[in-house]
Amino acid sequence: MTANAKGMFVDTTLCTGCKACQVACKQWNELPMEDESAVREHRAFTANSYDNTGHLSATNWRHVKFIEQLEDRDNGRWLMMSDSCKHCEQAGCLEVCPTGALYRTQFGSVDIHQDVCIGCRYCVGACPFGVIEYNGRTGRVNKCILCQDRLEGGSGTACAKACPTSSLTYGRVDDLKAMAAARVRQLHAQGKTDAYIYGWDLGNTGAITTGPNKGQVVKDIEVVGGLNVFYLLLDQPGVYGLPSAPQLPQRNMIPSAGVALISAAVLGVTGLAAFRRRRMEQNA
Amino acid sequence: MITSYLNEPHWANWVLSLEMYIAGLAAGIFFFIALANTTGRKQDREVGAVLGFFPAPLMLLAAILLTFDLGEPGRFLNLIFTSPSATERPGPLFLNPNSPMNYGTYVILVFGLLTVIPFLDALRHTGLLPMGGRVVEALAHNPVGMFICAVFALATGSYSGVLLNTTNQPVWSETYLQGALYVAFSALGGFAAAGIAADRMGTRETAGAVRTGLMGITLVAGVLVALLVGNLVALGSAQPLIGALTAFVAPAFWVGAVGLAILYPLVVTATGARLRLANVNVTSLAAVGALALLGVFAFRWSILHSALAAVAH
Repeated sequence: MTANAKGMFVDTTLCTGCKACQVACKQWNELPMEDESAVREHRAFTANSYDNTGHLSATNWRHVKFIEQLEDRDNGRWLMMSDSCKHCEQAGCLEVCPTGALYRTQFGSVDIHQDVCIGCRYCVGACPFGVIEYNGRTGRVNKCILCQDRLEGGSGTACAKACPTSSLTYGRVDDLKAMAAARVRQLHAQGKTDAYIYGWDLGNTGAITTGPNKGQVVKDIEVVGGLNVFYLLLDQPGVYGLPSAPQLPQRNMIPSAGVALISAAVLGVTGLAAFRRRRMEQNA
Repeated sequence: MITSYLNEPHWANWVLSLEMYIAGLAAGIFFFIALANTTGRKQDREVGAVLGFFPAPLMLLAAILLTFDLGEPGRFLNLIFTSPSATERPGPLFLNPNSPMNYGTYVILVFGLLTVIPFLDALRHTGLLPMGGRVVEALAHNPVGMFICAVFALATGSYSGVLLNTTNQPVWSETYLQGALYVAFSALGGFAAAGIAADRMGTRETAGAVRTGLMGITLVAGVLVALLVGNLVALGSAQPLIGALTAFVAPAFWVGAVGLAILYPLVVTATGARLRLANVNVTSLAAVGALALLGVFAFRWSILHSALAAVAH
């Protein structure tokens, strides 16, 4: 892990879905609304939930998810989660970037050199979380950059600053991990054994107490070398739209190239054989 | 399936499909030329010389389409040279060892330069090359040189597949087979194009070699397609290719990639079947080649769209 890495702890139990973080992000980073095609294709405004963005995109670097778990008309719960780039310790986007446009900052976050990005969109397919997205306006990719400019100025992230419930906390990742561990212990002591950490394994284990997955065991998950923006969750990762075992894209590169090499060798032999054993038309 | 949390990447799909198809076809044709020039007879070399006109312009066209796709030609330089802004990587040549796109850039660059050899040889063959004919002939018919060219051609053919494999997208990344499939369909395209040329030129012996080649390559491609579909079915991820989930992906895959590119050439070349439809011999090598080329495009298109379709749903 980057020494003194900065990040965020997202305590979903404290999120009220107010979207102040979304607004702060849009405002500080001067992010426009979705482009016209997104409006036309109903990707810009879902209008089917209190969730008004639907997904992270090149112009929505933060997205408050509303997950409705309704048992019947009177019983159920909303799980809310403010999502963004996780600034993975092993970031798929950064790992495959063919130009060095994506880079690790001095704060351990993943930023983009906009002048180096060629808009190949390879990182879009490589991110296991579906975070980074192509910006049709600029011909380059965009995502949360952990308010790099604010961090250089000594301020925290705009979203965390705006969060009225401290669901988002900015700080040193080591400090945040300690805070997260304490918070999980506190929730477990209150009987909320659902709580666990997604991003780092801090040793917590629990069981889901409500909802469709009631009774299922949950435990801390460390993914892709750890997430500098990590989460306290109350249900399985899939419920929040998070992969339970995200992987790095380059896991496939050598095996795929190896199989391709074998195939190429077989094709080479087949081609050579074709010129030796010609299949003539019988009556030509 | 790994779809629920992914965004739908809004790629200019037809441009990408076309780029992959054209570059793959150039690679396949060069593969045939390399074989014909070194192991073939005089007739084969004549067909190879005619086909030599195609790889270089096709690669140029692929580069133009890529430029159109990316927007700025100058940006290509960032794939090769380390930008002064990207100080994290040692320069001056840029190489990210985890990025197949980086390796592919260099492979395609070399392959693109190599395509000049058959082009010049084609000019020499038709008497349009004003000078250097002997040097060109020596280069174009040197077994070692052509072996190296064939290696770069096959590497170019497999590149897009390895690229798709090295992602986190459904279908693309769920097996290790995309690189192998892409190189097989690339070779298939090359032999299909050679079939058209041999048929039109009336070169019987070369047509015989093309028939044998098509039969062998379609068998390889068929085995790989079966492995791909079988693997995806076992993983529960085959829906975009086998289901009615998507409007055109499954039909394009089964009718185009499997039917036209694999089964039709395989059956015609293996059985020697003859059929005329509306006074057209649809079992001629030219017809089989043309349909196979269409099928190869359907393969590229359907594989590219299968992941996008899975994410979109």
